[in-house]
Amino acid sequence: MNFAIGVWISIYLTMAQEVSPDNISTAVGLLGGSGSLAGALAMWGVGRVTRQTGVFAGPMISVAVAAVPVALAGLAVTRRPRPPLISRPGSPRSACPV
Amino acid sequence: MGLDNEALGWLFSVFYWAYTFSQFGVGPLLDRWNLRWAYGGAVLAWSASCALTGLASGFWGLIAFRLLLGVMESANWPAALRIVSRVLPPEDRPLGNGLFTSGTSVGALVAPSAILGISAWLGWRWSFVAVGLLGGVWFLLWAGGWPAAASASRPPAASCFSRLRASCCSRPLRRFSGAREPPPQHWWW
Repeated sequence: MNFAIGVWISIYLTMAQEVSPDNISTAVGLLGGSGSLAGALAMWGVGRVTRQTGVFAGPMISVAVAAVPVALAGLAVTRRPRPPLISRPGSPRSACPV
Repeated sequence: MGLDNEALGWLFSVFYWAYTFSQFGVGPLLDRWNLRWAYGGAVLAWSASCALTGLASGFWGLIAFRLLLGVMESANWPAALRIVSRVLPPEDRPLGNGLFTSGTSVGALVAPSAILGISAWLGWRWSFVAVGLLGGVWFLLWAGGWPAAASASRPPAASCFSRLRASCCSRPLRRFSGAREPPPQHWWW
């Protein structure tokens, strides 16, 4: 699990740099602050759930399931538009509409 | 100092909440200010608040310095990631971020034993002062060794870091897998 976290943090930090290349510190600050707040609420919620159920299965499975939409969201916000094809006069694959 | 569990809870949580909420405000400032002096100043300020913790005479003094520490430390990641993005070209950033993160992990491994040693030798107040002085030394090295690439408006196209990564990781992996050299700058997926 620590190995996976090590891999994840490197990818996450690189993604945070791609969210807004001109405002990297703002993006990282907002992501970090939101993450800290969510972490504080999650710790409180996990404590309540485990005290009521007596097991950690629910929170563990929730984290594993949440990773999928989070990964998709990360891919979505860092997606860049495909650059146009190089247009050459007379080329049948020219992207130029004229 | 004879603090009970409730007082310790307040001390830990005041740092956490100050750190959390300051992150929302520090990012826009770092995007506008000179990064060299903004980041260096933040490190110097949190090192000073850490060192001053050793002079605290009571609970409220500790609260004040922990609050200041949380506010100033919130600049760390927003500034550091911007520096990495300005010093390294895009293809090197994952490795650069990984090295930066592993540095914090190594520090977290080394620091407890060092701090416990200083506390046992000179007392707990001097452990705060020693950590703060270390930050001051870091600031001097930082102010004197600012990389020129970090002041550039655009990220560099290639660096010795790129060549190191290519020779250590990318080329052997491609040779092993039989993959061809990729075209430069895969920006889309």
